[in-house]
Amino acid sequence: MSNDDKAKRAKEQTGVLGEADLRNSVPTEERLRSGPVAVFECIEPIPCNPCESACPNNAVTLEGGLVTGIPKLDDEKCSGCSLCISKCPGRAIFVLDKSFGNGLCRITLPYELLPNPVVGSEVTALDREGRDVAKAKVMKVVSNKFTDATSVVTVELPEEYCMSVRAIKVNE
Amino acid sequence: MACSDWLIKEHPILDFAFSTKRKVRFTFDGRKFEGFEGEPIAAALQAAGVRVFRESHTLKRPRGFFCAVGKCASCSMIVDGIPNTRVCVVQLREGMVVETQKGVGKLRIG
Amino acid sequence: MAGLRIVVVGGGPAGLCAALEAAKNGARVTVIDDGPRLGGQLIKQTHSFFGFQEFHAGTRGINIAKKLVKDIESVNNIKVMTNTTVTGFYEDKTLTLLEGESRFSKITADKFIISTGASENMFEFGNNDLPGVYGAGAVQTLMNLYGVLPGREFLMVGSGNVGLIVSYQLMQAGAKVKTLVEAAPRIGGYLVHASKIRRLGVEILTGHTLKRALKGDDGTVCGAEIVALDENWNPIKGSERTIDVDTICLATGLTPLVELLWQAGCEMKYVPELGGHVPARNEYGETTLKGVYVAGDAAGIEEATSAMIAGMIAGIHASGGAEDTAKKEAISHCKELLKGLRSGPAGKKIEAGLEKAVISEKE
Repeated sequence: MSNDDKAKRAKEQTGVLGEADLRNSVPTEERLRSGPVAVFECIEPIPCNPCESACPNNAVTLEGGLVTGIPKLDDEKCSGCSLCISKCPGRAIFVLDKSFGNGLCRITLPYELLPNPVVGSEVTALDREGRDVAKAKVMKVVSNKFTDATSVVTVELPEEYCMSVRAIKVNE
Repeated sequence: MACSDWLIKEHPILDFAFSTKRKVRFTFDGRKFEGFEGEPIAAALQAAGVRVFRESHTLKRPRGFFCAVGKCASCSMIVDGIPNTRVCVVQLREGMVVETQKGVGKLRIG
Repeated sequence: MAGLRIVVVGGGPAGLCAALEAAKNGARVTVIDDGPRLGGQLIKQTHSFFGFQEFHAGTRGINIAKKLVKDIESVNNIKVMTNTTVTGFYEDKTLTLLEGESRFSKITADKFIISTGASENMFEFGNNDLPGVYGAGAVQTLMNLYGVLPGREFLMVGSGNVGLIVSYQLMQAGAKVKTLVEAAPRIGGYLVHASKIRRLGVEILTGHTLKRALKGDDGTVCGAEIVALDENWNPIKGSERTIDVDTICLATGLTPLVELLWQAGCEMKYVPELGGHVPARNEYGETTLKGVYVAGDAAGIEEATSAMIAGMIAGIHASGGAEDTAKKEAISHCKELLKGLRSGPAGKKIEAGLEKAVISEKE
């Protein structure tokens, strides 16, 4: 079995995307350091297209023009505005920002649980396997009619976790 | 009075507006309970932590809620004297008398 | 076609869309549903839908339901009968009804659209009759309709989209899903749904099944014994593991609800890809009984967006759409949308099933 096949098998059994799966959607280090940019962790041909029309900069296209096309982001057009995050039904879009130059990065992610995260507070950062890997500080919480009951939360944490943290746990 | 420990008081997406619903009283096996008028009796029982609704006929096994849409009969109880009442669809009213049904229902005629 | 009477049995996404299209064409429509509210399974779906932007994608199921019901209420020629069960479909096209708990009546019409949805599957495991073992739909009904937490610590059985989504909804309601078991060697639903729950700490075990529920002193579920399966789906002795849970949720598939179609005399076919027995039908959803249509999960297990579109096709056609160019185009557009929805890997199975269930005009 090739490494790609092994990876495919692993992900289908665990629900955890690995490096090989995300190869095509990881922004370059250069792009990450120049400002916020979205990352689409959506690799299956699901019939789904709201991300395309959610982007105000037309940065998203679905492969082949099909509703099942995998979304492709033109990260030069992406401004990291995060409008797409609450529109993705799969909750598979994250905005990453490594442009601060202070060893910290910011991750913006969708959050639909309780308790609500409080700006300035500390939360636990979880990786794709749900493991507690770091502590993060809540910088911004956007929740309005547009985001439709989804909170779009920005957290700050050490930049080494930029490509691994994808969820938060808010402590009581 | 058994309290509704299992009500979801806070939810990230839904607002159950419990404060706007009319609470009614009913009894279950003689004990006093409260629930929301018009909702399935089963919802009120589950809200109070009651899961055993009846006893099976042959092996006397505990049975309760299962399908929630009135199709499996697992939730059959005696309500106001009427057996085989599917409490997952029948709506709660003030003063209802709900009892555990043991075995097959016996219909009292007259 | 004005004045045509159409009865729609089942007020879920397929039935509501069928009713709206038929009413637009001037038909007098009656929508009958055995529940207290219209909307079918949509009224419990708190998550955002996939599909086309032009078709409610990105909108939460509960809000799609609200919109459809509002549309229905604003149309004069649609009559709604809720809390009404259709108990029979006779040869002379009479439907018998049970209104509420004790009033019997009859109804007939020129055309019928049967959109009765599906029911949840049970499977064999020890103590499967215990209180605390609930179907996924039942769990959703309790927590999303009535605001009652069905339990605190769950085992989820099944990794199709239903199992994955309901696990997430359970966490939103405040419950903890300890483990999800899936008998097949791979996750059945979309990976994005699986990823969402994995990153929140839910363990997903493929190649595992539930062997038996454990009975507590109060007679209800107090735990679950799971077991690993080999490549031939046989339990591996010694691999049993006990998990402390108070509730077990079953999301092990759906079967179309087709009793009325059997009774009416439609030709039925057994199509595993569609979930079981379904009526043979043409591209518009018309069964072998002229004037009787099927749409939604009753025609084959799929999902809400395709149910809505199939309902539209049946509604347009049943109300005389075949005769009108504009309506013919609307039907074509719907069919294109369905094709698009089914163009991914998940759609292959549906297409294979439809090959067996759809009869073309030539046959």
